[in-house]
Amino acid sequence: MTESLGKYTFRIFRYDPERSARPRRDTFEMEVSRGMTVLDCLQAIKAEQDGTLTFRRSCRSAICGSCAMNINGKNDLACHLQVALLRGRRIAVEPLPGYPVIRDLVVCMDEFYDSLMRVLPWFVRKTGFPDRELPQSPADRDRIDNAVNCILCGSCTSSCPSFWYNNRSIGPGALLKAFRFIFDSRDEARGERLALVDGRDGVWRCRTVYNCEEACPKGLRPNEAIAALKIAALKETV
Amino acid sequence: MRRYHYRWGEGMWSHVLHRVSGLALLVYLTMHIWVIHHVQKGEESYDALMRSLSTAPFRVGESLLLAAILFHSINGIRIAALDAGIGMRNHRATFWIVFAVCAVLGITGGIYLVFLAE
Repeated sequence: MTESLGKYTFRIFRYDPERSARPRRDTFEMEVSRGMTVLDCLQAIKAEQDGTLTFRRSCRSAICGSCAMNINGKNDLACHLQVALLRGRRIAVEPLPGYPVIRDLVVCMDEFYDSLMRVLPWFVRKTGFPDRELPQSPADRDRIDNAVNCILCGSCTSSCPSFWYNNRSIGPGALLKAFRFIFDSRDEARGERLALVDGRDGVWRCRTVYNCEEACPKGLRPNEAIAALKIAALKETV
Repeated sequence: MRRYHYRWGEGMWSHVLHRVSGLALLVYLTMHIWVIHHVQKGEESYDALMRSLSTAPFRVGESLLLAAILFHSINGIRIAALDAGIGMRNHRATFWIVFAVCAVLGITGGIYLVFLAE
């Protein structure tokens, strides 16, 4: 029998443009037991209290990145964050900031994907591919270890004030992806990518607020990738 | 426009205070040029202005100016270091160090400017 943590109050952002242009916040109370994640609670609320509550979720294992949302003021994956780890008994659930809301907790991620496309997020090999695999030393792999684990949930870019002010700024998510290829020893488009992130919407929009560091549910550090890109951009493009 | 309720960490305070102090310094510099231009209007005009600038409200203003200069310059060094990749893992602690140094120097200097300066 799982231990009960008692009653929790969820204050959830609701928005249905077909009914009202104004968003509202609905309050739901529910009994939470130890081990339950925020996503478990949202599922229970949807099943037992209000079937119209809308949110994205898929894998429930912090791999797909669908259920990224803003929980008690911080971006995280609902499936990854246990209620027991949150302070207080009132939990505020909002959609990811910075992206347009489609309905309730579902946001339009187009701006995020567009920003990603701007850094050429694919492997470029101008000298052709060898017949077998392309080897990489463990040290070279370690250099990008931080960045290859990104699941593209969009939490970091959504937490970035530079992106709130100006949605043309590339943002930490896409810059982390740029870092992943720029510092990959096998990639051959380093110069083009560095020129892209060195532009006015790139790394220099970073104001070292570092919300992205805390927002990343995978514990990656987009801010450190951006710092490495700033140094590389200064050294190699001036 | 949606209101965002993002949790404020040290980075957010650093960013907002840096911008506010920067704008305050811009306003001050404009006023400073206006004050200095009184020099060419003759000694009397300049002295009269200086007398009105040494009244209590301006002394308080001067200590706020000191606070803005201290924070903007010391935090500026912190931000430049972060841009160079130095101290990234300790960025929260370095903000509080900057804040403490500014508080000590600012309060000491403020007491001097408001109560002790001629």
